[in-house]
Amino acid sequence: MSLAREGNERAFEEIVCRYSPRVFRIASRFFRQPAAVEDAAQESFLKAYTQLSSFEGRGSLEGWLSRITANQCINMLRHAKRRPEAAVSELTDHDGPWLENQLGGLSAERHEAGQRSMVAADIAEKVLSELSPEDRMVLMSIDGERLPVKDVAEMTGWSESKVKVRAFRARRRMREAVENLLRRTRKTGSEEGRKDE
Amino acid sequence: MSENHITNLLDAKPFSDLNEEEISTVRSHVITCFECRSAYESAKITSSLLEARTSETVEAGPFFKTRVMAEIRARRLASEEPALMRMWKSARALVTTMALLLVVLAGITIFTRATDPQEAALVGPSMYSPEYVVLARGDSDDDLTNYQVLETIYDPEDSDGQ
Repeated sequence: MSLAREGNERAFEEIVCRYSPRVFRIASRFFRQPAAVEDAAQESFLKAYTQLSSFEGRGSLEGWLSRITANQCINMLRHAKRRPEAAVSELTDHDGPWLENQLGGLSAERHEAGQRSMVAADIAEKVLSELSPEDRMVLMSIDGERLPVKDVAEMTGWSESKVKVRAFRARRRMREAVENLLRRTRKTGSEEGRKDE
Repeated sequence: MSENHITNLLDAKPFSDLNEEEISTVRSHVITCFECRSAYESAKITSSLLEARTSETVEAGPFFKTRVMAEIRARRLASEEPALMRMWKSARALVTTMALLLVVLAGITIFTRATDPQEAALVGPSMYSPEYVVLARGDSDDDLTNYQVLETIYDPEDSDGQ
């Protein structure tokens, strides 16, 4: 670490090798496209390299890197949100049936596991894109990855109680977004049924 | 009535962390409360969605480390370069293009002037020069030959005004 701080490239290469999996895992919570994840990870390491001198060694290097990555991803996502790629209103043909199957409990019989999971991830991404980057990170970390509140607090620099409050609100927002989505899917389904009749 | 709703319970922790007692409370409530039933279904789906999304993880490619280190070197070089050099680097293409354009335009101008017969005629002796007056104008009634005229004009002995 001290070598890397002095500008030793070999030492920093070692840091990149050791912490890439962690940095990629965090970036994957924010972005789905491999290129976007890689860009976020690269920018995080570049930022870490330029800020190495400010690392005082109080916490772990992994925690420090995680915080840099989370902040970097939040900033990138904020920037990307100005140019949204997909919204909940833009559901594909697969999304409606997936939601219906979830309600009916028939998904296991009707879909292949892989495809089912991919469609679910698609819908999740669309719903998550409606949340703020911070809400998304908290939800993905606590509810998705099952990280303890303490770890998320360390990563974000927030207090544990703030993380809990944020998670509560984020969960509610996501649940309401899914509820709206279900309502719309049912409405569309009943309209199509009437047309068929 | 609202304090009996189970939405706060659903939002307080991840859906899969609800214990058996909490789940039985939720289930008994949603039998009669349509609003909470919808919230319960959504919470279940939300949990599945998050699980599916989290299972997708991108891994670092084999050249990731090389890419990062190359970028570090490039940025370091860029910061070490003097400002004028950086300006030249960014403006080099524009300046070169403009210089080339200038050369091409000058070439075209010279070429068209040389090939235009009217222009070429204008480039010849001026209509106010002695040669033009004497040689080109055919209306001179003087009997002197051309050679004598020129000799008179360019006589070196006469050049000092004597």
